[in-house]
Amino acid sequence: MTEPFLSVEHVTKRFRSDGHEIVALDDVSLVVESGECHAIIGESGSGKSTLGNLILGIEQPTSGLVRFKSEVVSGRRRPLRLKRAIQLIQQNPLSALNSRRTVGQSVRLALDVHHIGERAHRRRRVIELLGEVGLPAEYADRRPRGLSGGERQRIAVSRALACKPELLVLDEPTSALDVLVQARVLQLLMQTRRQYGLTYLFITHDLAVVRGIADRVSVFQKGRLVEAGSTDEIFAAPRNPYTRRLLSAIPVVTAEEARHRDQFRSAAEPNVAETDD
Amino acid sequence: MPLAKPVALSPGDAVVLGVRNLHLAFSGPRGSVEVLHGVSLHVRRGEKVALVGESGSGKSTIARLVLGLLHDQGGATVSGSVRLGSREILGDDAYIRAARGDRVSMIFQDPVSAVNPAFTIGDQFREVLRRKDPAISNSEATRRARAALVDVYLHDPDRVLASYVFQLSGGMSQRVMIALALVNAPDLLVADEPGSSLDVTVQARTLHLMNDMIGRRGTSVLFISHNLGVVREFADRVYVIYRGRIVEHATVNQLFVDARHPYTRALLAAVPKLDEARVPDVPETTYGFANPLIEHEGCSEQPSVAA
Repeated sequence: MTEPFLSVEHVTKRFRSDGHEIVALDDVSLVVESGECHAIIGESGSGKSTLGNLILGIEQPTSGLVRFKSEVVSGRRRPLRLKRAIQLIQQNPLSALNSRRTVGQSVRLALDVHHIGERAHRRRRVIELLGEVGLPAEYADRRPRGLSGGERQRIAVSRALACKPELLVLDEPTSALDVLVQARVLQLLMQTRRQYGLTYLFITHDLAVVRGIADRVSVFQKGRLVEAGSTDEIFAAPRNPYTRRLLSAIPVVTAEEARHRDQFRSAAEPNVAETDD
Repeated sequence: MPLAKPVALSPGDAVVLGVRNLHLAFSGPRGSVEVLHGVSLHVRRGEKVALVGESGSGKSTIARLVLGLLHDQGGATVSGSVRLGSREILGDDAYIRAARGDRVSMIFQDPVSAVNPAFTIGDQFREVLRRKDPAISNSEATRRARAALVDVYLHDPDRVLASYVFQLSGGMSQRVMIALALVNAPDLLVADEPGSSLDVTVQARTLHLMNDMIGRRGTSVLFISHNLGVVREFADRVYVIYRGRIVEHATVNQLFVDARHPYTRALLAAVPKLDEARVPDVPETTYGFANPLIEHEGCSEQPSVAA
């Protein structure tokens, strides 16, 4: 049996605020295989972004550990090579990009920090990287503020690619985009994953997006992993009532989708009188 | 249980909101830029009409014009007609100010930032109720507010009335917004992306609740959204807007079964589908998006305005 690519082992994360203790993740274990797109699904407060932060090393678990290719990466200062190998794509590319830097400078910084390629060749590499996400060379001299949301997200992707990463943590990468732009960015992400053999941890609340991109799915509710399986399994026969409730709440655009969705509704009728929201 | 039902379009129905040939331009340092290029739409009594488009299409600008919230903005030039019932309101700032919160009310995307955080929910209700009835007593206002909160299934209305908006959850504050918007029984509710900042299960309940409330009151709704799925669930009739122009106008059933404009077709194709294990394929070109308006059968005639 080969070692898992990424494993989260009995991870619990508690936060303290105002004397309250919040359990953001409660004894969560999961494995991400090399080359897969693994979706983390949940609503606000489910702990899905906390999980991403633990894998990125932004937070440390209260207990449990995270292993990346059998090396324990949680709970201590992370070496530069791990920071390079695990990259983040955020929801809002405007806040992810430094507005004072040109696009070229932002992408170049990743090459400089990680000492990737000869200094003299880095400018050319930046242009190549922009080309790979479908942006022309002249974008290197522009600033993020003048660009559209889709273009900014493309730049975030090219900056992540600059690091030659192995794992991308994508935290709601298309949730702020219009639907046409979202479709194009999703196409780019899937094409990039195939081309570079990347592994994706795709954090989202949007189940229809997950259906199209993910190989496997882990469903989170209030810090607990409530259901996990292949995308085909989860969408054909969700077992957990919460997963069924999520699926049944999705607004859809075709009659076929509505039929597919409504089979989950019997047990999960949205109830207007429910006030636990 | 789809919420959308086929709608009988009888031309005699009273028009609650009538927008005709609306143009809007902003003057800037490089001259005037037109952002609405002759928009016409109408909402009949008891009808739920959606205006769907992407960011920058002008859909929220139209909502703000209808609510009279854009008139004082410097550099804006408006022409055309916006009627509430038989009354022309474009340029009649005094009238629209008086009508807002009374005959016309609104629900915004983010319920928490839509109300003043320095006032309790009880204060907000009193202020809104006084717009319709300036002489209303505090005890009567409280009684009406409690009833309105119970109507949206908030079972502890006294606690909610004493709360500030930031003390409530997103779903609860959205319910409060719905109760506030409907407490004066307005003719028209303008809902701009209601619930789209909420979780999907909460959003579904919010839309259900809104549908239930306006159905009982016969309130007309102009529903602004970027989410085609939500529009399909909620609206009777749809206008699709692209860059300041209405490009397609249909009933919900017509639009989602037989979209005819290239832009609408592209939008529908781009939505990830629950039953398709692939990412939607969208061409990079935008050929045909600027084609002229397509109106489906039975939608085009805007009846003359009843009093």
